[in-house]
Amino acid sequence: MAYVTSIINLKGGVGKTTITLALAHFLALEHGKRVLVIDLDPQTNATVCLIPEMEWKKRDETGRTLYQLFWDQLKGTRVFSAEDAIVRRVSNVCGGIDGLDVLPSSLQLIKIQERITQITDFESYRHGPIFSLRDALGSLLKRYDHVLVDCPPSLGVVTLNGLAISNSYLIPVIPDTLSMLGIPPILDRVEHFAQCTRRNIRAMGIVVSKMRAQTILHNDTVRRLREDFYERRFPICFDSIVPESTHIAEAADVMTRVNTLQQKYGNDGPYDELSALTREFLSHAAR
Amino acid sequence: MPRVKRPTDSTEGESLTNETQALVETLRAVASQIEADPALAARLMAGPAPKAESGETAQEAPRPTREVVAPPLDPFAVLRQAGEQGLQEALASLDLASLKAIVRAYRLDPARISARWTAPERIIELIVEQVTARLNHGRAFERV
Repeated sequence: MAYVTSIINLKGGVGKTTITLALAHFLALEHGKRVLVIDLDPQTNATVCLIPEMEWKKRDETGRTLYQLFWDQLKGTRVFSAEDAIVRRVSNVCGGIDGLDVLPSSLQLIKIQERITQITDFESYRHGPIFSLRDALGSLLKRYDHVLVDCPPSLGVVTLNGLAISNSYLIPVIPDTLSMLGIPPILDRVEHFAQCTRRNIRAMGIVVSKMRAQTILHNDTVRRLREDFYERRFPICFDSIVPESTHIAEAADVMTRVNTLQQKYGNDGPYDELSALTREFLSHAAR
Repeated sequence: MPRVKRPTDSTEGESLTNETQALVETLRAVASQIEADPALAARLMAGPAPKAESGETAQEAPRPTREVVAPPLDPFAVLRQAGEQGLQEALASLDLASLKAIVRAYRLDPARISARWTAPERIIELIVEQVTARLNHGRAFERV
């Protein structure tokens, strides 16, 4: 059965998609894992980093994105098929990586997010489309070793659908003042959700992202994150740190031709860090 | 200004070699000069002067550089004006060095997988593909 990890933070722009994509690539290519990326973020960034945007558009127009899943919930229809929606052998590395698949998101989710929220009971989670994704995926999850869920910057219904199938979650943070404020509410909310739905959802850890090593604030914050692991109830902070990097920014372009992960992420820094992050992720997932 | 320690202040001075003795004498002379000249002391305390402009560094040994070929055309402008066919034709008239100059100047191959390609048609295909993709970037997100 797949080990499912949601990548979440209430704040946007902290590197959720970057970390999801990096883990997906390294797990599939360097560790031979079968990986499914589920893009729950209506911004659709993870999707268009893995498949050309025109292909995504074609799929979106034919009901083969997650928009259709939630639209079905609102309309009482049953059009969505995860089997049809999953795009196989994605990425620009070698023209596609065997064992790396994506379940695409849709910009149209923005239009219906509020309506889905209105029919959801956030206290007991007994009503509303909390388990729509789980029900739609069914036995498909068995095909994968790892499923990575790129969540939107909220803990709304769409994110809860990701948590409802998750074994653990990762919290990417930029090591600055504001990014840190979001950690306790995530821990509280996920714990509440896990209790109500009788699931065990482990906080795997915090991953420092967009680190600028020459910045005193960033270094101080990382030090405090590591100390807080002991002093407060924060999950562990990963040893591997994702640096702020032009290579990582350029890696988002799915139209660029690359043959290796070294070419995609750059040899000098980001590649080594992301490779180490994946090894650390695997060791935590195995515990 | 702290005084330079004289060799006679210590028994270590008795074992100094001739070269060391010469160095000590030189430093002592420099120290004396600094003590006597407050302006020199101030300049030394201020640190090294700012680096000279490029025009003033004529004495530096020239670095060996590869000849850089300027891109003969802007592929984005050509594609906008003449379309894909027009860009193909414009590129077909260029030699390999010029094609690679376009790839380099417009960063069309950041991973440099085309660095060793020698067939112009492969480079032309890469340029057309990348320029077209970048010009159309974001189109799928319009009017959703």
